[in-house]
Amino acid sequence: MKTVLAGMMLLVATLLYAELDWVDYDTARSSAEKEGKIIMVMLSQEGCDACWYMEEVVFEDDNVAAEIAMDFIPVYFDIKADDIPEKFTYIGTPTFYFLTAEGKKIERLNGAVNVKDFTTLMRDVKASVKKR
Amino acid sequence: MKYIIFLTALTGVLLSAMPSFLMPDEAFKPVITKKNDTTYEIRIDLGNDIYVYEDRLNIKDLDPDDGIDLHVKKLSTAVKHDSDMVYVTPPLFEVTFSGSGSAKAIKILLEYQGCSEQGLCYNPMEKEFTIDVDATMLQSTTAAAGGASDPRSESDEIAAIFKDGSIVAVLAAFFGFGLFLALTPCVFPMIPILSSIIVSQGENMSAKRGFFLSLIYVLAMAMAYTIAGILAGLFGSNIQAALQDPVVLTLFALVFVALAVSMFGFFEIGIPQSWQTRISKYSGKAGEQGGVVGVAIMGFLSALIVGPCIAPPLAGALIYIGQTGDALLGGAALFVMSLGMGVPLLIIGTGAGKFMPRPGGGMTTVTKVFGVMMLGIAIWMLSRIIPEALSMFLWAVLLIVSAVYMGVLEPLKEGTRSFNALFKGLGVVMLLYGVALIYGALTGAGNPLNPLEHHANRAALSVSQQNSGSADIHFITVRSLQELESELAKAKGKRVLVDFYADWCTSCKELEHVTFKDPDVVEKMGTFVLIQADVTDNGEQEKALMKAYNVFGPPAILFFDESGILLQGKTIVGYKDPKEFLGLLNAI
Repeated sequence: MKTVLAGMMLLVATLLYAELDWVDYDTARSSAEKEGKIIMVMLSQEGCDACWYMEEVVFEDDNVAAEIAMDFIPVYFDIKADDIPEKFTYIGTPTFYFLTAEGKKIERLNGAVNVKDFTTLMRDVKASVKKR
Repeated sequence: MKYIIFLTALTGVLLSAMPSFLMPDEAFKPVITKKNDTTYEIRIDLGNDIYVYEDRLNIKDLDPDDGIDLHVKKLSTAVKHDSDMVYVTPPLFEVTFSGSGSAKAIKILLEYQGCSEQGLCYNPMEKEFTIDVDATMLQSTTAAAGGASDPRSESDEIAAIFKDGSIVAVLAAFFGFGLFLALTPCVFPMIPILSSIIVSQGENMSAKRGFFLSLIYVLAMAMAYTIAGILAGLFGSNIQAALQDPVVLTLFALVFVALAVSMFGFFEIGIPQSWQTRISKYSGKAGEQGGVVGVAIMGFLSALIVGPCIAPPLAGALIYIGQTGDALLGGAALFVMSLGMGVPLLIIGTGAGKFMPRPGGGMTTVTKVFGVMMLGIAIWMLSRIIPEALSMFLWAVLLIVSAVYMGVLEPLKEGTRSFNALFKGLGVVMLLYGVALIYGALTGAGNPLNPLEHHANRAALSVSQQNSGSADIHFITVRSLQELESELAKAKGKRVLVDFYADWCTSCKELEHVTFKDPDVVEKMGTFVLIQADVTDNGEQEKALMKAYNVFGPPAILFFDESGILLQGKTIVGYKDPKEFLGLLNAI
């Protein structure tokens, strides 16, 4: 019963959220607190093949998009255009940070990964938050 | 306990999901090396799986106003990666300084950006180089260029003369190259064309008029080279190759056949009467003027069709024009070079005017000889596009039929003069050679100069079979830049020889039939990975391939070192005999 329900919710979410709803970091912190979600920060830049892959392939995947919409608040930084908070260090793009509503780092991902690995990573991040 | 299992699982997942990426300074290592006082090489060594975007790579002069100019030459080629052009092997650039500034230190900024194939793109990066340049060296580079410290190929040397020399020196050098070129087989086919034109001009031919006509011919030829050179430079396209198009070649072969037929007296080729009268309105002498125009047209056309041997001076000039866009100086140099090439033609033309027999009497024999030569030229042109066996067969037909006309099969008449005997003797030789050619064509020989090669090989094989037989060289064939890049990538760790080849290229065939058959050459070539870039089709991808490596036409042989970097000074352009070729191979 529970799985059926979860499946239905996922389906609804899929229909509702085809695209990611990127917000700025401050907005993300307050909404994360209110909605009990996890902040997902992406550091990106223009003309970056690997970022393009994440945005156009991985995040276009319906299940990934739905899962992000349900449990994460996505934040987008362009390293060439935006001021990046000091704590988000990177050696290149894309770099992902998963943070609690208080801004505490849960996980960091360097570079692009495929749909399967990104899904696993999101599940693990969620699991480790529940554990705390 | 449960918690520990979970933790290990999580770490495991994260480790597998997160490949360890190279830090930027490991991924990209910019290096600069000094080649000589005014030339430096900049290279970015790349870590594993790292690539650099072509359009994000810039080399800048940080002091553009210090009187010293920077010339950057790209020595490596970007490949298509998804939708971008990127370097997957270390990009290499040659930076040359020129000018007369007093600056001692030159600052160069290298900007670049790249990614790892594992899925991470690095920030745009830059590296500043400060180079101490002795300003006094800059002016005297002409003497230093091509010195022993810096091995260059012939075409490099010619390009270097351009870069550094004064205009007079450049033009003088090119006149010299032209004279030198006149001694190569490239010009030979023009001799019968010119002579026959002059002879066919007929009556009142004098040395003066012969000289005049030859001059017109040579000037027209020079004009053709100049235009072709400038266009090639400006548009970077391979005009010579376009002129080797089967359709064009066939058309010109037909023109020569027509000329030959007219030589045999079947019909007269002349400017239509109406044109002649129109021209005569502007000048009193209709016939003469018409002749001049005809000669000029022939000169222009024969330069385009018969002349384009890929000779180093031409390639050098084209490389220069292509790189600098200085079409004026490049064009002038090509013009002067063609004049140099024309000097022997002028001498022959003048002589022809004076010594060639007048029409009537002995004239018929001479014109018929020229007719045969014209047919020979037609076959020679067709031989680039028709199967080897067929062209050998055509040669055989030409020789045998001519021999029969020469009366080989008829007995010499009573009281024959020695000249006739000599003539018949020559005819017999032609007949026998024609027969040999037919034999060769039937046994699959490809070289008209060596019709019995298979016969000889068979004899040699039976002797050498015990000692491992004759090794044959084997090329990997590529037709596009992408294929070449991937073969180069596969060949990493080994030195690579890339032979630009086309079916229509005579010098390529010579290389194939003579040089690449020499056992010493074959042995030495065996130490390289052999790739043949087949540009016969001369389509978009072939053009892109040639352009990527600054190859102006086949044959050109490029060498790459173990890490896949083009050895710039080692490129071989044009035909080389086995001994010369071996020497160049050994120098690599």
